Amino acid sequence: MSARFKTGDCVIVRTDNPAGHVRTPTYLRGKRGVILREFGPWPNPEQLAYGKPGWPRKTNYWVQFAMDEVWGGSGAYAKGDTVVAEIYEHWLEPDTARRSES
Amino acid sequence: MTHDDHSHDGHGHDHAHEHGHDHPHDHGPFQPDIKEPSEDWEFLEIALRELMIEKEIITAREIQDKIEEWDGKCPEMGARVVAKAWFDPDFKARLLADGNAGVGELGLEVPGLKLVVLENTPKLHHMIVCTLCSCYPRPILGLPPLWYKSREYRSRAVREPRAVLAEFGTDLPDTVEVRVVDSTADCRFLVLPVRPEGTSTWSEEQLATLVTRDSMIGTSIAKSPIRIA
Amino acid sequence: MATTEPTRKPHDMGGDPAGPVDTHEHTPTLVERRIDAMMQLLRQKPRAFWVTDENRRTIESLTPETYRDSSYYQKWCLAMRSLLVEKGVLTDAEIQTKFEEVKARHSVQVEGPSKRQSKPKAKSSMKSKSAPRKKKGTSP
Repeated sequence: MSARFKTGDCVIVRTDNPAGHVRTPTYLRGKRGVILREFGPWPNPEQLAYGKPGWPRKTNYWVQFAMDEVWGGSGAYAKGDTVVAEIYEHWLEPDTARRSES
Repeated sequence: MTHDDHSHDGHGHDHAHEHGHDHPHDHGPFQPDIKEPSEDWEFLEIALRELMIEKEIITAREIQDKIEEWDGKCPEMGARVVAKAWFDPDFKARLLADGNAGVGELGLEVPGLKLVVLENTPKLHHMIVCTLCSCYPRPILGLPPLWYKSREYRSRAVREPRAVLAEFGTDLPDTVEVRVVDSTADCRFLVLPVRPEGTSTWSEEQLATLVTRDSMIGTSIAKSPIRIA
Repeated sequence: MATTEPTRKPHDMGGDPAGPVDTHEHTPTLVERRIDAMMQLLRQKPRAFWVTDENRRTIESLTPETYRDSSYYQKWCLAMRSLLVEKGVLTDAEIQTKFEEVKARHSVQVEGPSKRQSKPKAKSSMKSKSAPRKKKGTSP
């Protein structure tokens, strides 16, 4: 299995809103982040939650978001503060606009 | 009178349970407060437990053993890991590269999960939360504190980290990046706090006394040796 | 504020407004530690009746009111009940019967220890055949 993204890639979290069990917090959906690290393939929790084996496995990424990207200034944080979360690959899209900037 | 082991709920957990469920009720005049079950969820706990024991799905002994196993897990285990990392740069490098293998050198295990140790520096401060449930490096720190599981912490840590840190008495300059780590999957995160100034001659055992639970969650920093002395 | 999104479930609370963090320490009670222990035993080998994500899914499926008003281990206890039934380990009927029995037994005894501490001779009340005290609250 080859990883879809590599460290430093710019990504956007999907805005899906499925009814079942997911591990992508709502506050990060639709937000632009950067891959910090890859944690390898894991059984898919969206399947595991219903007694299934979780295949195919999904690569999990540590994605970093600027606080301003997530909260647009409405929060108690400093300019350089960030939030990172583990996001599975099927929740991530390449952020082509930002990739072309770099 | 009929024996009822559930009256023991409020006491007896500070000593070894060699006598299991069979000791009598007469504890003399200094019997500690007994918290009789009074809420439906407490009755439900008793009902599920009794049913499972009756049907031999689980034994009382197993439950007791598991409780004692977890009573033995505490932040001091994590403190040993941090102190060793402060003391031994080679160990720190191995620990940061592979958390599971690193803590394994101290006889600790994090089964089924990936332990990721995050190093705080004068420029970067990690703070762990689990907004979706309450994921926590339990095998290294023991059961999480109540506040870690609270609505207030889970809701606000990702949006108001500086305000939350202030509530823990932690004020960091804006030149430090606060990196809030939302523990959303199969990693468990342990913060390696910044080693306090003035400890260059300290032994590993002395260093461990400066490592608090909260400094390994990232709501706080390690204790200052001045405040200790 | 994102609180108006209709489909967001109550556990998904990152960024919600909330009050100050209560940093008081709390030593887990024996009931809480027992729930914790049982949940581990049921999830781990050799039983492995369910996995962590099934436990999470069950807790996330509690009504918003129950999720909001229940303590952490209260939620775990409710999830344990649901999962034991879902996995066919126990039946709903036998849990309900046992629950009523336990509740009746303890409602009688609730009078016991408190009186025993102040008035030792009240020990006889432990044998009282009086009807179980009716307590408010719903069945689990």
